[in-house]
Amino acid sequence: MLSADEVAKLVSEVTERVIMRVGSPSDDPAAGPPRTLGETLDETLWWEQERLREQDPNDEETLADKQFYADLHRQLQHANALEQRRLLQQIVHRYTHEIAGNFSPTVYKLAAKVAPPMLSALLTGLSPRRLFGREAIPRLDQHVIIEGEVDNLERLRERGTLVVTPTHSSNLDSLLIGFAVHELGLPPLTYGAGLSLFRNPIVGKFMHNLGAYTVDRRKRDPLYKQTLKAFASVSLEFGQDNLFFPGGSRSRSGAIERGLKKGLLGCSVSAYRNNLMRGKPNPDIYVVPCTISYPLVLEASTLIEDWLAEVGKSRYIIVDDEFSRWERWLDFLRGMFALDLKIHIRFGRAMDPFGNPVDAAGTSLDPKGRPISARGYFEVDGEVVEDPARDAEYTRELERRILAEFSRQNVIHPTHVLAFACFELLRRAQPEFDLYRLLSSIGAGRSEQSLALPEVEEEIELLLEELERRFAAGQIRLSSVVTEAITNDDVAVLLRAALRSFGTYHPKPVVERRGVRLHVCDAKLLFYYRNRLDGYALRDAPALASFTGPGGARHV
Amino acid sequence: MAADHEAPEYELIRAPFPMVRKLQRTLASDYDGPAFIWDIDKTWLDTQISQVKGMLKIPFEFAVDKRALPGTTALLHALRGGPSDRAHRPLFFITASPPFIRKAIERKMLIDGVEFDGITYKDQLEVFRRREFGSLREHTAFKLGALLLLAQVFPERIKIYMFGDDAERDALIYCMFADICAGRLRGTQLVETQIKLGVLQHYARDVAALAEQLPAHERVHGVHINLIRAPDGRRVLGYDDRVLGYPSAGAVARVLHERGLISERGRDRVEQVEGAGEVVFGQAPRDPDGWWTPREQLA
Repeated sequence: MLSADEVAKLVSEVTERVIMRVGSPSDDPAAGPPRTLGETLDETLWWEQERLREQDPNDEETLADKQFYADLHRQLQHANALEQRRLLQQIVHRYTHEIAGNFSPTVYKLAAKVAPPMLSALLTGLSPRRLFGREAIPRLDQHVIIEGEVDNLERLRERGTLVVTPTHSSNLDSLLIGFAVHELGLPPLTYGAGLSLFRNPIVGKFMHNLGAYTVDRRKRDPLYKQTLKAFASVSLEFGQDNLFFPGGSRSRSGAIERGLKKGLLGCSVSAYRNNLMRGKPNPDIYVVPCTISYPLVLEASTLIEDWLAEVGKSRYIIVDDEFSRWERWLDFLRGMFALDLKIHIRFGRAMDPFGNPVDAAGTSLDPKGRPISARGYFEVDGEVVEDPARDAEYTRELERRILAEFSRQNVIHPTHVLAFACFELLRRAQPEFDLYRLLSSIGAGRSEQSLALPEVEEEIELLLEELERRFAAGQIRLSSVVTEAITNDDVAVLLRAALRSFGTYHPKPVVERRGVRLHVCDAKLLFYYRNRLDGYALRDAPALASFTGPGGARHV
Repeated sequence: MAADHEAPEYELIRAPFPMVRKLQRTLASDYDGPAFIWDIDKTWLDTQISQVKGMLKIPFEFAVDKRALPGTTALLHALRGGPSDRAHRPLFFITASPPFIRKAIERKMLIDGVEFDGITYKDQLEVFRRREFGSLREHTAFKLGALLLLAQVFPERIKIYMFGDDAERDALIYCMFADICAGRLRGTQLVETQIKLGVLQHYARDVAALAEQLPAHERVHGVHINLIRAPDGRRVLGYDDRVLGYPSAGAVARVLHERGLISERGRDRVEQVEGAGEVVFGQAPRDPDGWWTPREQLA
């Protein structure tokens, strides 16, 4: 992690780089002609004033921002080119300061040491009998399975800079990755966390000190976005290992990412190029895809509501979800411990910024496993050169490789299998319904849909056969319970595990057994958990993308 | 697939005894297979609801604190699965636990994956409200009443297998129920036998009145008693060999497998957890008139 001095240097470097870029052609070939200094300032003013109009007028931060931009507006009226540059510098500096974290090694060490046992004790304390009894306190590491290609990470980290790129389902993700890197003996990662996390009453106070930098998704100003990208890029060039959530925000649908934000992802390409151009020692950047698979997701209800309301694109900041409520945290963690649920953090194979796999020594390999020169990707006549169009193409290839790795490393839990089976049975029974009508017909009001258990078991059996084939082909991963169900031909074990998960955490059970029927009590959550298996063409189910289109929901 | 109408989950029953019941399955009228009826306290869970100390502990216990007796959860899975492991055979619970702990008990069932089709709780608060303190720990009328109400909704040709423990009078109550179903124990003799066991007269009469409504038919095919108090089986020796005592879940699983009630895999899974000892069969000679209840227990 960077020292305070290095952070100051980083801030200054970012500011300088962003200002230099103003007036130059954009990295994005589709961005059009470069803006003048005056245009850039006007644009910033417009976007920021728009943003501030929607904020709480009594909020201290809003008041300070309003004052700042009012002053800026006044000064801009009569500013010459030199003064415009000074004003731009002020804005970028302000943005960079706001973004930069304030990592505290002491807080990090303390959190890493104290948090897991505290959490365990807290959860144990939820049962007075256990609190005062002599029973073993459950440990966090028994419930968070860290697996996959972890052996080379330390060595790669010594040779270059790591960019861990996980799937994103929950705000717990960054904390879990923090726990995982600590368990693996790696230094802490820096990462961009949404403003909502910093305002979270539970973790907000610690975020900066744990290595996070702020991403304010309300800020639409292109200059802010450039500053963010520059910050990520420069921190990589400074050798700071990073955590990028390349999907941008939490998956609203419950599916693993099928598309990534190339702006942030492109930072690994540009950082590597800049390292080479500046002749830095250890210039390599290693991208490490990673999946985080939960049997239950803390914020599932809010996320799927958001997806279904089709406001996911505009509602970047959800400040009122389950993550901000203590009681939901406790319910979630208590469920995890009591039900012996496992969260899988699965690291995929590390790759270079072009998506080529790398070996333990960090050497890039071609599809046949032969060593290749990563540097060669940037060279023209033996010289490393800048070429935004070319780099954008490299970023697209990196995206493709990461997505493929996400798909392969996705760990399937019993809840996903049961949800998929139930949803498919209900969908097939109402082929004429579009998604929204289907969902509202299931579990609506007092007439819940129910399915006969033997029918569900048969569907699960067929689904497991297909999953087994995909697992054997290395296309997907399965949790231990799903594997056990396949190996022992025992659907009951999977059903029991799924039903107990579905019946304990969410305020309303997702699926509940009554006698010999399964009742779907929350259709939206059923859909959410089902979506984790989307994209594998299982049981001829339609892909998630076909459920919605420009005109809204399509027929399922 | 069906859009079920949501029935009120729990029925409040006042006669023949105060109880709260949840039924989640209606069996087809031509069903002639087995149904299993289980006690909870000391038969499945290692709890002591029947004792004052056990009752006092309840508010401080969570579902995760409740411990199943070794192997019993696997045995319940095996019975539910039947010989094919997929049979979903009918399984009902009758417990003297008060309804206010139903959440913890049913959550424990969910956690352990115990599928059930119905559960009846003794409404201890109502008994207390009626100031019938002697009936708080006396469960005969409650259990007979709950069993008879179940028998009323069961198909006539069903084969009932019952599971209890020797900490209380489960063996005797189950045998009385078998005789009531078959029409041997009814009317005045039923009332007086209950009174002899400490049942209040009005409850005894209500139970007998309910029994009269049940068509006489042999329904009970086995009584299985967990030997929790006397592992040597002396508490079941006074019954005939239709009553068996088991020192461990594995021991009874072996017998149930031989009788075709559970699969080999089900038996093995129970035995893996707890398979010590052998079952003890009742040693009294079979009554020529078919009585399950030892004559000396009758009024």
